[in-house]
Amino acid sequence: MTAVVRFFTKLDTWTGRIDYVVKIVIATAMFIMFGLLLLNVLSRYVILQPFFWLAEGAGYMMAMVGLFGSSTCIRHSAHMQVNLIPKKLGGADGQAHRVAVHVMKILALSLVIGYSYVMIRYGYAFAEFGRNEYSPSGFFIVYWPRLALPLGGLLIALQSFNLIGRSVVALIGRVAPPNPQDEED
Amino acid sequence: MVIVFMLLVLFGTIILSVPVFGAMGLSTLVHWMDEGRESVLLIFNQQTMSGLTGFTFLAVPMFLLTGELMSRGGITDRLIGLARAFVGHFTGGLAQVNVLSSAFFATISGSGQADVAAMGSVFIPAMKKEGYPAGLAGAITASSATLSPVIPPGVIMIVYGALFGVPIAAMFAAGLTVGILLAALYMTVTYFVCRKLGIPKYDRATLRQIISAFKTALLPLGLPILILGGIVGGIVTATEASAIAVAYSLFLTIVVYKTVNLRSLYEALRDAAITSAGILIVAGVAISFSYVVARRNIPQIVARGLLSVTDNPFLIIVLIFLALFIAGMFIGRTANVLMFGPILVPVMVGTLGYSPVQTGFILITVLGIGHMTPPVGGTLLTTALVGKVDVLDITRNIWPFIIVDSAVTFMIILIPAITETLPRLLNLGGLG
Repeated sequence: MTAVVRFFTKLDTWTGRIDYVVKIVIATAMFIMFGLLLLNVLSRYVILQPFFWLAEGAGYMMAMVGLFGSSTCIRHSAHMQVNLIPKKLGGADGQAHRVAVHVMKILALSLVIGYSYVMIRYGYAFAEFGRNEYSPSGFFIVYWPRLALPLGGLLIALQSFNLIGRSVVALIGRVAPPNPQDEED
Repeated sequence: MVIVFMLLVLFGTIILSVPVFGAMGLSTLVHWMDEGRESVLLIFNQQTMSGLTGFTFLAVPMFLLTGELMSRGGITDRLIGLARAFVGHFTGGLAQVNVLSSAFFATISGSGQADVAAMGSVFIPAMKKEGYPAGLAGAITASSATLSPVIPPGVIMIVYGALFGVPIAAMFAAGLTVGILLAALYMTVTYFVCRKLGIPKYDRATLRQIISAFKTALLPLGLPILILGGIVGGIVTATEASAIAVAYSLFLTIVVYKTVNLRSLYEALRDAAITSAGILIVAGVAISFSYVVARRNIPQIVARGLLSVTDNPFLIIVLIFLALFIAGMFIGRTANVLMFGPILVPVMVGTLGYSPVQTGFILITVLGIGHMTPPVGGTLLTTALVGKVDVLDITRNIWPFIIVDSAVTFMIILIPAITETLPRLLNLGGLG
């Protein structure tokens, strides 16, 4: 049991670090997205010479924000979801309710991992299809932006697995693993 | 049978607390299991990617970033000052200022949750201090926060427009009418409630005070003018306007007011990115969900099912109203529009004959009612959390506002002119 707790505690620390990096990446992608869109406006209305790749690039940045950021949302429970049953169960006292909440969490997160498997495997296959394919503007090879799908899926699966770990640790009677990196944000 | 199984998976996983994007994604897998071809999974990923890179959707993260920057830049106080100068002398002065400030704030934030967070933390303690019952303070804050999604640049209007090919300019123009109508009615209800409770009002602001408040808020107010003027005037697209809005708010908060530094700029970018991610991933998966919905002819099946219950269009819309009202109690408007829109919009536009713009506002306002309805409405719970007010206290006071919201929704359903007049006058499309 101690080994399991130690494993999930380590995992929590490492996924916390990954989450920290992901936040920097998506914040940067957000800024680049803004920069590209502003250049798009300037090129269209000021120098009257539109460059289509600017909007395309901004779109690829948005995909990165959406897919990578989703893993952060998983970790911080920031996704749109209905928490009615866990809230009802969480409000009640007793060991049985506590167990039910964590079992439900584990089940829900396992399903998320199942869907992220589709994103990883078939997202990668979809990216491979675009290895020699150019975007409509001819500026980007679509393989690279499409890689956000499997990478995003991987990050989502990782953070979901980490949350499963937290529930497992709580179920075996310990408090949830510490999370120092989250505190630093 | 496949459709029933798809819906069972969708609702079953949602009740199980699976995030909406996962629930929608898992339900699309039922289509794949039925088809039995791996290429279907490739198509799902292709659809998701096309949703995540759509040009119109780019406006969503940009407007969220604008809201983040303006909130962090201390713009809220300036808007409150202006609202107080305008309506502070009405009965229930501070409550009226709360409603009007929310309407002003909506023009820069586009998100109800942001509104509750910004206004709730300022107004609820201040109103309690002035003798307002805590529940009433919470109820007014929660209901006025529902103005954000219907006042441009409400994110939900962009999401709806992008997903169903409705011009954002038409949605924004219609939103102006609905937003002003709702704000005026909220202020009227507030007036009567406060008069009954004998709540004090402020002295009338002098002309000098009004001019001074207007000067203070002039630059932040330039933002909605820039956005609306640009989009509704047909000069720029919604996405281009959103980039200009970010540039304007950066200029305002970094150069003019000097209230945002490098650290808070990073925090604004990070928080806007996280909020955007939660919306974008659902929007992306919703595109593959829409693909399955269209392939399986689900809207036609739903329309046939509804017509078999009754062929009275009004009763059908009442059934849709009830279903959305219940759904709105459990989950936010954006997720609901992305989930139910692909099924309901073709039914409402194709079978019942509503225009796309009117349909959009029926969905948005009905879901808004659910979101402020006890015991689980999201806006209600957030307000209770932010303002440290008991949910039951808010519940006792929020009913007049729920009745107003319901009345406005039925007006939108029965009187197309409410949502269609401005888009028609300005020739913005979205009407058929």
